[in-house]
Amino acid sequence: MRQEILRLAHVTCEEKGVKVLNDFNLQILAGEIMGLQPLNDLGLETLLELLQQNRKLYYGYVYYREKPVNTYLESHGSASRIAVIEKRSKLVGEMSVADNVFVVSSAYRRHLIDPALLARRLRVYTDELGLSIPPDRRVYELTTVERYIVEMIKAIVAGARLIVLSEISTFISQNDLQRIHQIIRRYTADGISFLYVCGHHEELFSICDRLALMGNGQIIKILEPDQFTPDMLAHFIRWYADARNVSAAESPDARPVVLQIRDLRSGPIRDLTCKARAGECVVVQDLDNSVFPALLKILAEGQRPESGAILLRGQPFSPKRDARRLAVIQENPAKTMLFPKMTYLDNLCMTLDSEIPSVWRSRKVRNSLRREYRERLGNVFESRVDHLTMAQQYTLVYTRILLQKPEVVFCMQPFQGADMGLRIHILSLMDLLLQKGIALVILAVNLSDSLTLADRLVLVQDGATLRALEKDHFPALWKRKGY
Amino acid sequence: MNRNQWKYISGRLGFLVVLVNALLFVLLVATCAVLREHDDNILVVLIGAALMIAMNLVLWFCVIRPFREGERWLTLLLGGYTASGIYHVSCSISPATEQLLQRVADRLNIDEQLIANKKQAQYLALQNQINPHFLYNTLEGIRSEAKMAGLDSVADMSKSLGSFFRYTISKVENLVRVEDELQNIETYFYIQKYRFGDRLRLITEWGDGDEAELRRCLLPKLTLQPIVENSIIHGLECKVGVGTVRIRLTRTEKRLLIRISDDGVGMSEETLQNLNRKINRSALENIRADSEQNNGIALLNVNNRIHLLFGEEYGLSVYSTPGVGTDVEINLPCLFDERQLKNRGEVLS
Repeated sequence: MRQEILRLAHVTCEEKGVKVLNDFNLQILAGEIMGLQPLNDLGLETLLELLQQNRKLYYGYVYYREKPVNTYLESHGSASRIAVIEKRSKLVGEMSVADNVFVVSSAYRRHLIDPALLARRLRVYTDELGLSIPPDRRVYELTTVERYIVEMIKAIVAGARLIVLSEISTFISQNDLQRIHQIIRRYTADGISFLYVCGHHEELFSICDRLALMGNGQIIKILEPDQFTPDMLAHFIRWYADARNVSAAESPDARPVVLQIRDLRSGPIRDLTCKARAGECVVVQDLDNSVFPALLKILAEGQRPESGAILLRGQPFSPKRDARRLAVIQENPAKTMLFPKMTYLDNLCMTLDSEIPSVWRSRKVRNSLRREYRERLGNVFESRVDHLTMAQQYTLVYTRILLQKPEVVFCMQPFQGADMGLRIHILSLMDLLLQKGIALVILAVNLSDSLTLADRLVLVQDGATLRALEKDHFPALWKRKGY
Repeated sequence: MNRNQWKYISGRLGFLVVLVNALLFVLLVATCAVLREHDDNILVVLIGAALMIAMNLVLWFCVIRPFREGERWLTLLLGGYTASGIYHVSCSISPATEQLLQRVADRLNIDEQLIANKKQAQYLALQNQINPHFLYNTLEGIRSEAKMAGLDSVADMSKSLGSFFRYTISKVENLVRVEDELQNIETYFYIQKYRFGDRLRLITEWGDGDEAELRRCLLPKLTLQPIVENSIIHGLECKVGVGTVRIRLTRTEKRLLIRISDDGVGMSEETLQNLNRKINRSALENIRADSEQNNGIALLNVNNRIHLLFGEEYGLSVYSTPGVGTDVEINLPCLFDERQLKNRGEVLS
């Protein structure tokens, strides 16, 4: 008989009169890894908040280790003993790892701090996991994966029996993710439970004991391991399955090569080589998460590489001359590439001035744009960007890139932080670029959805191209990676 | 403030509170302005500010918070979530309002008893109409005739039907063992197999917990059969090909969890929402709705019985997706003896 660690029964939470969690039911047993795949964003933030802090419920019950800790009848608003690990660090950057784990805790009762003792205690935990994190290292010096591990140790030390991991794979490489998975499995053997929140079903299938699908603030279905198949998931999102095959229709082999990166060296980039044809999607996966910032400096900021070349249709790439021929879509483009206080139309015209210099003066040009795109975009042109939905903001970014008429588009971690619905939307926008004959290069540290449209995968390790895999070899890759 | 809020005394009072606060604040600022050149009079301003804060705190704790709490309970009652909130209204607006709420609470209680009694009476009347011994003897007669005629399948079928009715009609106790319920399900399935043949499969899975212990757990009689029947009729009957009903039992220290899943046609989102809305309504409302509409749904009846026996925190949850199937999760207290239920009742009361 396993102990029940968490039960949410008929939990209903309201925000500004909207039920963001509606009749939400979830049970997690001791030593279980429960996956949670949000099909859309509604209620996810509230759920994470509810797990950390026993916030007031509109209706329902929350049980922790079979005892009611928060009900609609009585809610203390106190902190719970559930740790949530996410993008935002909860550690104090200026303090050492040992201090963060032991001292920055409500359970720490001593008046004097003995660094040697804390270091010895921390080593017990790190040695157990086969890690070597110096106890006196400052937290801001840690890598993302080390920070996740320290937060997990801190949670265990504080007595948490349930750890929530929210979208951790977005910020770490595939190798680091495997390391985290090993640690998770190690802790589950001790009866620690995990709620693994992630938008990528392949990743969830590889680690979870059960998987809860969440949509519109409700649990829609709990999948058992024998139901962990893409086909089963496709029932829930039919158009997801359709999107997976969109680029399979036409092989781009016969098309001309528009981008070539040859023996590129610059900082952490030691020997990067890859190519992309018109209308082809190439995924560059950095297994160490180290080369992309340097690559972006060359592409977007015009920094000269130490050696090697980037060729556009056989000609050396010049940042000034080819600024419009090569586009870069940054991480979280809705936040980084749009002006939130400006209108949709103004944002759309932002890169048009090279094609149509009179775009800012001529009302005629702008009206023509409105007419041309009204059918596809809707009547949103006068709306301010911060009033738009996330999907509309992404549409705006990609449409702006389309208007720019580039030959190559680099997408930096395009699915980062996106829920299932948004990811499907991004895939359809990318497909639009491919249909226009634009070469698409996806830069990713984690594969997941990136392979959906890919024709070729280029693996990069230690700053150098490890190998390139054609589409036919992807299934073998999934198998080897444990998906 | 909009016109709707002005309709209610609460809205008007809220407006007046804000107005008085604003006036006091203006008065305080004006006093500050007048006295700012006299350092010795700053104390007057501080006392004024402290009094204003104190007044607002008293207003918050003695008036606004109890009022909001009362409103919340009434909203939950009106939303159909729970009727228990009406007993939690600690501070009424006026003596007449308090009496009104008390009257409503009394009526709810009387109604509940009346309806429960009426249901019990209907059940007994039904039981009396069917003379069980006559039914069993007839089925036994059919079985003998079938055996003699060499019709083994008819004989087996009438034997199963006899067992099914014996369990359904004869035993009138509230709680039965899981193994009895499962035995009844198997009998029911056996009968249904004559209709569906190999198109129907039943799988029982024992999750976490000792199987022998799980078999001894108690649950309200006829909890599983109506749900399995629903799975077959609404889920699998319309499905092309083989359909499976899977019963998975798990227990934790305090709970017994039973999940009945089918891989049938599932139900539309609208149907599921309607069903869940009805399930989430208090047992009291559902009893009344049933008696009014006279078309009680099996799932609602099971949920109502669980609510009335064990409380609102137990009951059913339904998940369904078209083309995937339907899962019904039953959440019960883990009991091995009826005395545990009585003890729970005493603790709760």
